[in-house]
Amino acid sequence: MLKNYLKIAFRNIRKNKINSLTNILSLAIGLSATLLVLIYVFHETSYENGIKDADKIYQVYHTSKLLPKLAKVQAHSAEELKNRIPEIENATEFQSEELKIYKGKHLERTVNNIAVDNSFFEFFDIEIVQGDKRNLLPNLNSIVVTEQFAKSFFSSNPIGQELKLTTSEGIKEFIVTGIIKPIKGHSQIKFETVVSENIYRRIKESNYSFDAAMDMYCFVKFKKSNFSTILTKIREFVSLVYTLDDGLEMGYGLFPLKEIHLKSDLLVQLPGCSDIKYIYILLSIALLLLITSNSNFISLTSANFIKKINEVGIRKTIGADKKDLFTQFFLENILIIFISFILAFVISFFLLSTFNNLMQIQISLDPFTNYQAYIITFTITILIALISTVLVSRIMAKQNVSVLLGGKIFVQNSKSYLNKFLVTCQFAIAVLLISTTIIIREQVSFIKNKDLGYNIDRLIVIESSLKSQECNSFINEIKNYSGIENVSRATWFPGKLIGHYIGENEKKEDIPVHCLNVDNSFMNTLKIKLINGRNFNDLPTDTNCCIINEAYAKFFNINNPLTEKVFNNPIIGIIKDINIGSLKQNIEPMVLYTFSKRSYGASFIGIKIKPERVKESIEFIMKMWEEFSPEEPMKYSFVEDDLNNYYTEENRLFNAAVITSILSLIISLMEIFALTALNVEKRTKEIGIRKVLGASVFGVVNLFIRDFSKWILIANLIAWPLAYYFMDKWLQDFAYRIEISWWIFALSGGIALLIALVTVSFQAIKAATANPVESLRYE
Amino acid sequence: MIKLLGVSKYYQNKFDKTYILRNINLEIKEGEFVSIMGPSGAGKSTLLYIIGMLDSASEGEYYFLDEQVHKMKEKRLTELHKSHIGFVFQQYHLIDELTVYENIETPLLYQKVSGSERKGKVAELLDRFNMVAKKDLFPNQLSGGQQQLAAIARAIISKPKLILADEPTGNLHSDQGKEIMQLLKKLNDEGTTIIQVTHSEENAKYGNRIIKLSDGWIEKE
Repeated sequence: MLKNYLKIAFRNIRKNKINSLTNILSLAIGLSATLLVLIYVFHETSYENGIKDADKIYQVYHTSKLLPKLAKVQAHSAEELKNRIPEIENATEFQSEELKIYKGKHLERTVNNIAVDNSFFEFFDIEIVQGDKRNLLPNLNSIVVTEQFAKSFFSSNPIGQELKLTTSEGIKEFIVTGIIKPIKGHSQIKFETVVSENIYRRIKESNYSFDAAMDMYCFVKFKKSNFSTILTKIREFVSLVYTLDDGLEMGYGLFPLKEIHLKSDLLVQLPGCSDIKYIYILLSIALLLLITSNSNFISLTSANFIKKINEVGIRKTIGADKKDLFTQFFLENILIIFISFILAFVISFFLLSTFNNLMQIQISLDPFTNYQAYIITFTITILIALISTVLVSRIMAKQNVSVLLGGKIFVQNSKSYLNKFLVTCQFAIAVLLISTTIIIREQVSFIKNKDLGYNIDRLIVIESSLKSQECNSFINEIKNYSGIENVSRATWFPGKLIGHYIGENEKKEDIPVHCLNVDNSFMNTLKIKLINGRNFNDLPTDTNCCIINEAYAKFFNINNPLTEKVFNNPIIGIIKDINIGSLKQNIEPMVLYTFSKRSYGASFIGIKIKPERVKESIEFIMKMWEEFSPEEPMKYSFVEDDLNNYYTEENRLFNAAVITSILSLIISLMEIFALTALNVEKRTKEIGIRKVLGASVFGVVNLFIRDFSKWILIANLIAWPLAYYFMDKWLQDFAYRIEISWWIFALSGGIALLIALVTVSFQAIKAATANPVESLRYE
Repeated sequence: MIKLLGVSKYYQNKFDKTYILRNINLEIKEGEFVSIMGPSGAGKSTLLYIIGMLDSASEGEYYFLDEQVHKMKEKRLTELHKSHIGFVFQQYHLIDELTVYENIETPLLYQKVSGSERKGKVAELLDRFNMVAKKDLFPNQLSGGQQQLAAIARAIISKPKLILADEPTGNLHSDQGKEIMQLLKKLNDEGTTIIQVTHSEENAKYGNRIIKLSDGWIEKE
């Protein structure tokens, strides 16, 4: 029996090539999207699952008005918390840093190093392969490495071997005392080497003058206890530790470990965090594609079924009961779906690297590790088969054999309503996606072309770790080079983070003010316009002066800025407003000081290079850098790239939108292509009669076009408001945004309609130009 | 074997009923060869379908081998239908996607007959109908007469007690038609009850009883 069904199913697929092919292909696209997205989702939501009691572990973060929600806390916090709060079962802290290994002068590799306290290994339940379990890091120069690192770096047993690492404080030598395994599964806590935190603290104490350096990631594990009582206790503890000055409220907060990967909004969080937003976006994309391809499947199989009504009638007369027929249809559907599933796997295989690039992730298609994704995708396919079988069987069961054998079934009309409804849905989705894509594109190009108030052409920025004087002499060395137009040192350049300070204004209002240190040539290098007053020059009094932006004057209602002061620092100039971050932010008050005032952060060197001298100038700068800082290679970037980094998310979104709209359009087109083919076949006789009666080719083509056009227009009416609603919401993220104009919708609707018409006409013209005698002869 | 008591068939429209069959009383005994005749739209085919349990009566009682068909559950109906009744149509109604062999074999599949038994039975019939050479051809590769032969082979493969034929020679040349009628006659001689719908007086002569239908009424016998 099964053999008989399968045989028929295969012959059917062969007989209806166009129909089956479009069906299989479109379903495969939908399934492939589902598979990839599900693998992605399961990957992203499985973070920290390998850690024992992960539910009870929280990250301790630091919060203040100055810097709300900072992921790092002061050293010793873990120990203090554990000692003072009995509800905390265990606590640990570590510092994470990328260290370099040099071979001679060449950078051999970088390693993810963490500096930990004693409880780290026990806290995260880390498996120790080799080494003293009770005391893994016995000395200050002890280091523990992961199995993988050991394999890739050492040729023999690494225990007892030496490892030279270049830290921010210079080269240090370590002796390997243990081998461990990384945290099981996916985790935000990544490391290749582990050293004791004490080593850093010693250096820190001698080098830094900060009283409270926030550089530790701290985690606590609760006993079975109330979350809020612990939080209160931690807050009490904080108020004991910190002496709060000037209303700068500080405190600690708790963030669940398992939510770090997707939901963290903390500053300087562990690297490699994603955003739950992507999961939602991808899931909706997969869902849209799945809906389109499935409605394709359902409408094509049911349209196909109408051709098989006669066969159903025959089978009933020769003894098939409902169950037999249901099984047959189910098997035929399953067969198509199964082929699609295999094709989906092949498509996913080829799309995988693109997907990984787009999402900046490394996932594989391995069915064993991703079994959940496979099971769900497979269940979905079975469900589709069931739904379309049930739909078809319900029509079938209602009919008498005599009606079935006649091959004319009166539900045909309602059936084609279902088809039209599905076509409308598909095109609504396609138009929605196309207009979304156009709007994203418009906004991205708007952002890229917006005048930011400064010029970034051929501007590179070096992260400088040089001391102030060294830095100045480095600048003096390079600024006279013929390929360089301007050099400037400042604590901020476009694309870098800028700190804001609250209360940094005469009236001490709660308005954040951006403060930075700049030198005399800063404004020249960035081509920032001065609208009143003067720039800094080397006058000795300038060390006490400052320059403000227009926004500052506006925010604090200063009418005559040049006569006013900021914190006793006379204002000597006013600059035109500049956009300091991404265009999602509005312009905020800003004050520029010279370097002799207090420092507002690490310094950068911005270098404006002359046109067509870029390559040689960079080579020259690197050579000079090596003389000044032989141990640390020069870290530099083009400001243009840095600014683009603000919009990686938008670029990714744009790419995803392009891919999705193309796919959804293709699937919808395949559906109307196949439906028109069926329609033409069904109406061959009608076309013949009409032609005999004198219908023109256009008249016949119009028969097919009219119907689809109507439904596509309805689809547009559904899609436009939806697209407007969602994109308007998206655009609200930007301080500078385009307005959504009507032509975007007209264009996307036009694209969909045009391509659909071409597809329909292609077959309709073929039918319309055929000789009517041919089509009538067989009837 | 077959007993119809006051059988009617109608379609309910919004305001009135359209009758296809009216108050049919009919008894057919085992071994009979009955021809149902009458003009187009008289309800001949509907009567045949009701007798074949492919359609149900709107009113009246139907007894098949003394079982009450009008009160039967669908499962038992299919059971009875597939083990006792074979159908032959004017349009042959072979399944296009199946070969001659597979078409003939299909009823046995629905009766869950084992593989080796199926092979034997199909081979025997192919042999009897001289169609062995054509067993792997598809229906559209055969002439009308050959298609009808295959359809009859399919109808009798499970040795039904009753064959219902709806204008079996309607689409055939007279020679082919004659051949088919002789075959039906032979089956009747071997003990199978046959009911055919026909327009042709000549074909009706192969049978031993004629029922005339007009406007859904039995006119005369």
